[in-house]
Amino acid sequence: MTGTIFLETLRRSWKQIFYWGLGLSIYAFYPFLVLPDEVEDMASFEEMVDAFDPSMLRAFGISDAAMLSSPEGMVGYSFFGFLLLIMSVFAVISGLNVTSTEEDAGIMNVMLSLPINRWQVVIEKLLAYTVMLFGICFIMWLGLLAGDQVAALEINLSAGDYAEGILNVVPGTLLVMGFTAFVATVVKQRTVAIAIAGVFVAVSYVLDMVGRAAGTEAADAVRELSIFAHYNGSEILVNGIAWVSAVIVLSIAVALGMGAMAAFERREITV
Amino acid sequence: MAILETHDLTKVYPTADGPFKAVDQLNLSVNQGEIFGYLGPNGAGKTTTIRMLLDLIRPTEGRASLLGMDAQADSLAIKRRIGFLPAELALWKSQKSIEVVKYVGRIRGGVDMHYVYELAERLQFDLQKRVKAYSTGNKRKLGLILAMMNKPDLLMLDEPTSGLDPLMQQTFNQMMLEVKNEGRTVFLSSHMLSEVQAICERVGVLRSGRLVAVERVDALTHASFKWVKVRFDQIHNIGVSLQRVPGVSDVSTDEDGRVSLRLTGDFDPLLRAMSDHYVVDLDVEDPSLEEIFLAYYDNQVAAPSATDTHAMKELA
Repeated sequence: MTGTIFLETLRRSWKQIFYWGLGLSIYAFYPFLVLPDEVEDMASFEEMVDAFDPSMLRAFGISDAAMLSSPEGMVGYSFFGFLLLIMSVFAVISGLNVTSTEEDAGIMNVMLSLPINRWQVVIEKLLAYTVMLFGICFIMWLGLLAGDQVAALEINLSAGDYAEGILNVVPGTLLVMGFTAFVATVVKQRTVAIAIAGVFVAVSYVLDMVGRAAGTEAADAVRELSIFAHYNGSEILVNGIAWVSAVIVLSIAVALGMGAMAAFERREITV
Repeated sequence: MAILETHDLTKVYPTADGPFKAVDQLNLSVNQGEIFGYLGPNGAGKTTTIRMLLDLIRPTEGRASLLGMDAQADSLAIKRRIGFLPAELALWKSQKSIEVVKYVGRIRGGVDMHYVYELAERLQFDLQKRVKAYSTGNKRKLGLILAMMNKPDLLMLDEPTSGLDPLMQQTFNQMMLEVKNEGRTVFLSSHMLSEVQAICERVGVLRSGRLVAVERVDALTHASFKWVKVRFDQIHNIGVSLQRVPGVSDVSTDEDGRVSLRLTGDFDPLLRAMSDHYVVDLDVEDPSLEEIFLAYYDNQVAAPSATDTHAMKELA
């Protein structure tokens, strides 16, 4: 019956939403606690950052050292700067769970002996993990709002700004999830799928980091291939979502999801 | 009416040593209301056949139909009317079996829970435990419940009784006969004739991917025999006299004086022939499936048909 796999996946995974959300909320809360108490302290912090090599700062997504002298910039860098990298772990696990985990365990033999289309398995699971992602994002958002309340310095950010920052991670996470789901339906072995997905995230991150550090046109062109280049988390609270990039990344994620459906239709369930 | 038919069904896997034919031009027909045994040693291609029938894997050549529908094109419609138990049942370990049953039931569009509880009671199965807590036999029972709970027109069971105790095997046999009496069909795969001979009318025998025979079970079991090993308290020259016992052949005596022989028919003449000696140990073994078929075709050798000759070559 339509929606059964979607609901069952959510029923079995609601604890994961809570655990991931809680863990990342604590991580979101932390930058607010370590913010300097006084504006003067922020200025001295800026002086310290100024002493760093600009290419190194760029490598970590900081185009302007002055950005770190604001509470908004500090929170953006400390939390959002690494959020997509962390969420990629969730995305790879979820992508594997679309088909590969059950196939590897031999459960898919039972599933596909039931009156259900193969594409239905893929789409309902992908949708369930997307809903889970939004659940995690919501809990993270609550963590950011709580942090905002305890920060020693006044922060000029609204709940909407925090929401925008959180939503910025969704397209990239979905792309990694779609990529992993697609690879897992194409390659024979789960371990190979894990390795390819891991290398995809790692190479993507390094491409972005090196591209930013180099700062050349050629490096920038190569950097565009990285999902992290389109994420730009460190400056999200200052610059907001780059909607064109977000739509492109989201479109690729949808295409990969459809690719996973097509590949799973043809797949031989051999375990 | 044929419920299950295959035409030249073939599955070839590429391997490092070249193409490997797991199933080779299988032509099979199973009738409605029949319990059909699909026999063969491990690795013969039984599970590969079932996987092709279920559209889990696709044939390299040939085609199959179930319930009058194409196994690939009408897969969804077929799966609404079949129940399947895989040889190695894997389920969600952290879930309670009642949750698994309800989940599978929802995918099927609903399930009669009264019937599920009835099945569980007959199989003496506790639905409230988590899957990981079950023994092999209990997992088998859960698999049977999942396969049977929608009262399918065709049950496809891969090694269904492995892990079940003898009492449960009897219950299983009874349940299969009830399914048959309701006009439903059972396709039952096994590597042991003794496992299926109580309920199957016909069996197909697969060897190295090829169907070497389709016979009535009673014809096979009639040709069946036992391997008997007897140890006496003293070394006697009894072997020579046992050779003259009706039904006894292939008598040999080892260094310890243990006599091995092949017995076809009743035990009584053999027991009477041994009654003057003190028997320390007596061991009776069922022959392997291949030995049964060789015995069967030995009996047919006087007037071998083309199929028989082919089968004997395959088994030799």
